[in-house]
Amino acid sequence: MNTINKGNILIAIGVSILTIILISFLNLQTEASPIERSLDLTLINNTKLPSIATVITGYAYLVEGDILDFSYSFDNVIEWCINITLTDIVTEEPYTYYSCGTESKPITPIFKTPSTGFYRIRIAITNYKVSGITGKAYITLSIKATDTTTKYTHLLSTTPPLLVASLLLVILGLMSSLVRIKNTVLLAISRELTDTYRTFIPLFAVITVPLIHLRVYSEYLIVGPAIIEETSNIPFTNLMMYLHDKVAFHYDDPMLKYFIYLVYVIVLVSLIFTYEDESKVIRTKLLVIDRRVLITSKLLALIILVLTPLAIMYFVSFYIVNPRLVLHNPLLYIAISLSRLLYDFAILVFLTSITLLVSVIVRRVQYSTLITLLILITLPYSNTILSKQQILESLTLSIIPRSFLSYHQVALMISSLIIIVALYKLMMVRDYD
Amino acid sequence: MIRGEEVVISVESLYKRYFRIYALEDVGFIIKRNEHTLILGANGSGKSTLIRILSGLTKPTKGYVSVLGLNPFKNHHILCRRIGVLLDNHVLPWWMSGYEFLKFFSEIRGVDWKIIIELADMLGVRSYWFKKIFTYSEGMKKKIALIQALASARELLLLDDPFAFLDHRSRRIVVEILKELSNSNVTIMLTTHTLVKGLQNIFRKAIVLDNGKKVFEGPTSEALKNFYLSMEVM
Repeated sequence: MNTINKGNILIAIGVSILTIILISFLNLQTEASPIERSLDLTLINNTKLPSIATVITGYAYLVEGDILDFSYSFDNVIEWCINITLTDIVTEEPYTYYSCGTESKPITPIFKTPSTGFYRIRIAITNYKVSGITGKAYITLSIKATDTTTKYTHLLSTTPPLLVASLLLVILGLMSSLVRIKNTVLLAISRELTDTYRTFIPLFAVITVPLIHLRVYSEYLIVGPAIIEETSNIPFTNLMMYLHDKVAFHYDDPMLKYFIYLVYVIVLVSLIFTYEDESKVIRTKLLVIDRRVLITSKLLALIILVLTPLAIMYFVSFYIVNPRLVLHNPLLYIAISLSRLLYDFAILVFLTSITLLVSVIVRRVQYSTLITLLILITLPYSNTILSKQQILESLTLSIIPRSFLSYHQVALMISSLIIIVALYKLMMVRDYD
Repeated sequence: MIRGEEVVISVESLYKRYFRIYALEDVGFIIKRNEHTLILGANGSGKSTLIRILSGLTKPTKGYVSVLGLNPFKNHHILCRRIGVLLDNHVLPWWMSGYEFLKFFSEIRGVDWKIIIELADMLGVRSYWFKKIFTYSEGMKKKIALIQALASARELLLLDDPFAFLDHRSRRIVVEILKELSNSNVTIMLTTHTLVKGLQNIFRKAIVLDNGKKVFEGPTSEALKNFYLSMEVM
């Protein structure tokens, strides 16, 4: 704990407060802007009525007074019935709308949010008759936030201080508690964690990344994107539902978020791997620590450092926006936070694997940073040029945030893990000259 | 190939190539227990490469290497607990203090802290060891690295140029420590350019390397007579 002494912690807190103040001046959105989600559904002709219902289920965080405008239309559909149910997930109180008709563009319902919280939205199209083989249903959910500022203020006035405090407590506490345990692997991990904070850059990154994320993208975190699509009727409170490969978050993350993640990963990978190699400190460490323990502890320290701030960010944010949920349905609270984290984790693992690949091969910080950036920037273009969509989709930053389907997720994780395992093997057998 | 209880280091037809240049070429020797050996040679003769191969940091291009009956590269996890190593360019973690580095080292390697205190006192390290390593001079860093190597040597001690950057007094102290260690069960291998007084009494055997090739193996006195007449004696 000598590396991070009291003076350093005080400076870190000072820097964090300054950062929070600076961030608060950025992108201050005061006007409410509607957020729209559109879904196109294909309805297959069924001769046996009542047919199998086409059901969409999702979740949204809504503030009291928010207006949900459901607009829907049909193509090639002669008859239809629609059932929209919004359920407050804490009280389980349902709000239902049911309508049957023959028009292609019927009058659409409006839902005014009675109280702040998470709502389950279930849209079912039943008893439909299609002219021909298939018909189409177009559904648009428009969330008109009555006062976006309220949400921002609500979230941002409470989250950052809590977040920063939690981060500092967790990271410093983790380091100091591990140091006390006389176990080789834990001591090595603890040392790697502490060593990463030899400069203020990672500490600054660890604190600012979630803060920037929250400040700039709180809209994406809370309102519109909190919509999950499910394809099967799995029990609602089942945690595994969120980890099921058929279930995935659908939201349009801005590319800048991934750029921030990339910078964050480059900083950490450089400090843990490339920089030590460059300065040959790794050689000295190898004289003291077993090669397997050292490389493993470096990788584990990297995962801890990458995940901790984001995990805290999601858990703290979802607690702040809906504390009722934690008390009434803690499993769901964990599931929502974890599913968010899992989504980001897959992308972070991918970014880490690419950065690590370059850093381990090119042992210079400057070159590895430049090459990593070049690879990740040119990947979307190579995708267009080569047109090998199926393969490259899973490896392309431009595609992943927009359609993060199950096979993308799996392909991304597997390819990233293959790279990391290969690098682990390489680091184990290579010379440290 | 000679193997057995008494053999501590066994090297046979050892080659190490960096691109097209051979750092070591067909080197072979055997060092038995308590057969303390000096490795002599000019700059670029392959001494440091040899130490790195024996400590398991570098993989040989070709040849057989056995340290305490084990392949040092494959059994790094076992050997790093039994041998003490000092490298020529020992880069210490500059962001730590000398105390912090040695404390971590003693905890992870299970080295008795008293031994480190004793060595630190002898080398006069305790007066500055709470300062950060980046503020140290080369000699101060060398002493910290030396303590780490000396304290962890349980069966074998590999020292690459331990006298570089050290003052006269410290050199004499290091020789005294080595003298004490040589009487225990620790086998010492040392490379140097500077022959400090008393060193010949500890190291009876010498191996001379020239351009990566072994040109001499025999008594130290003979090696000095034939190859190092002009060697600096301090």
